[in-house]
Amino acid sequence: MDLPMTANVRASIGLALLIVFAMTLGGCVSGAKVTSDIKVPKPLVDSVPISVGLHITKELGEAFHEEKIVQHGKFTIELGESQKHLFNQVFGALFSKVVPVQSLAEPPPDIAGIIVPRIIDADISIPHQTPGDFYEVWIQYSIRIVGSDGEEITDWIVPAYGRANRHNFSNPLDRPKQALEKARNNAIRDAATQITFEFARQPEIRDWLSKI
Amino acid sequence: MKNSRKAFTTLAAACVFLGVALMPGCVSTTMQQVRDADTGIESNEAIAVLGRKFLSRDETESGFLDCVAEKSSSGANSLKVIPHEEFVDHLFPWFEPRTAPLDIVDMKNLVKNETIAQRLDDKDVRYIVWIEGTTERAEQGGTLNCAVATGGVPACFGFLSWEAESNYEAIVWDIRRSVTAGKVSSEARGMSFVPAIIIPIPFIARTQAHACTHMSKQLKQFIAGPAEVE
Repeated sequence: MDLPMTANVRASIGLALLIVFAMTLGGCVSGAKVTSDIKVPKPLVDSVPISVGLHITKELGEAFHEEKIVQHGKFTIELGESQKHLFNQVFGALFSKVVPVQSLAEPPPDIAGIIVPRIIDADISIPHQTPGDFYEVWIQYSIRIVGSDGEEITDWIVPAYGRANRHNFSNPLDRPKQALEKARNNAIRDAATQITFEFARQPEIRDWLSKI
Repeated sequence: MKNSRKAFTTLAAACVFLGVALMPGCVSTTMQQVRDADTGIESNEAIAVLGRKFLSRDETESGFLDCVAEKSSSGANSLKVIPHEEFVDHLFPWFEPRTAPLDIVDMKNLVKNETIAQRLDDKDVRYIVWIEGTTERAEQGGTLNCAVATGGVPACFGFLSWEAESNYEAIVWDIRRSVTAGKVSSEARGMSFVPAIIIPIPFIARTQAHACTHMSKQLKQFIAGPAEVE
């Protein structure tokens, strides 16, 4: 017997197939662009009662990382937007006053030194490159400190890392973007955590702070 | 007449599909509880449900944490719950993967910091519940092939099956007394399968949802203490 297939039945079958297809779509990734910024809470620490300058370079404010992964497309993560906020929050908690510095050649008066953060490297990894379920982001920072006399005190390297489990994001089409965004945000939180806890433990910084 | 038949056909097809799609696969759940100290909670006191995060190991899915937080804060014996994100932001950066206390001794030392103690007081945190565990797929088998047949009709044939195992443990710290109150665990196993003769029909074993429901119920009973259970 030849059963006629109406358009509605075809549509229902199509819908069913679409849902099953979506359920199995986890393996398909074709690039992502992460552009939103992140708000890092102000760290809960006692501040040192001194004023420091903070110089956010144009290069840092516009930083981004772009990477092509074979068979998976182009991945772009914006990093610069959040940096001014990140360093103001962290150094605003570590010191009693943070003064914005536009140019290293014209330091404001009454500051103990100027902090110049930079991003010197960044990297990403998607689950297809590793055996795990994680989107990962690495950001390597350089925290340069220049004393009030213009002499460099230290150039401290901070390697920050963040990751996000792909199973936390249910929409397979939006998953790479959402997961990379979460991984990037976690890397920035990790940078804030490390700077908060390790800053005063760096020998050169400890010496500098003890002389002020 | 033709229109009403069309509508009926569409409705019937949609109902059949949704009906079978929502059919659960078989799930069996095992629960365990170890009590190290008496518990109890005042109506103003809260629990924080936190996922143990590691930089190099698997970590609990955020959906499971959200589920436990939601189910523990609703229904009979409901608790005042502070979700993971809210708690770690409130105490930033003391509960980040690198810095979170690993045991109750670390926590006891952390609470000596007046700023942290004050922040915990602000939220009336009495218990911290650390959740660890994941849901894993195992023993996947079968094949399912889909193609567009003559007349533009998509069709699938085959059979897929897999076993899922959700294994979670919650360790309860009593912050006020600085003791580990105990732990509860929930393990759910289930077989999911998708037979397909033209239309694939998924029977999904919702092991994570089962594990969450049972863990939340257990947590509420555990924290309220045996005398308080309805």
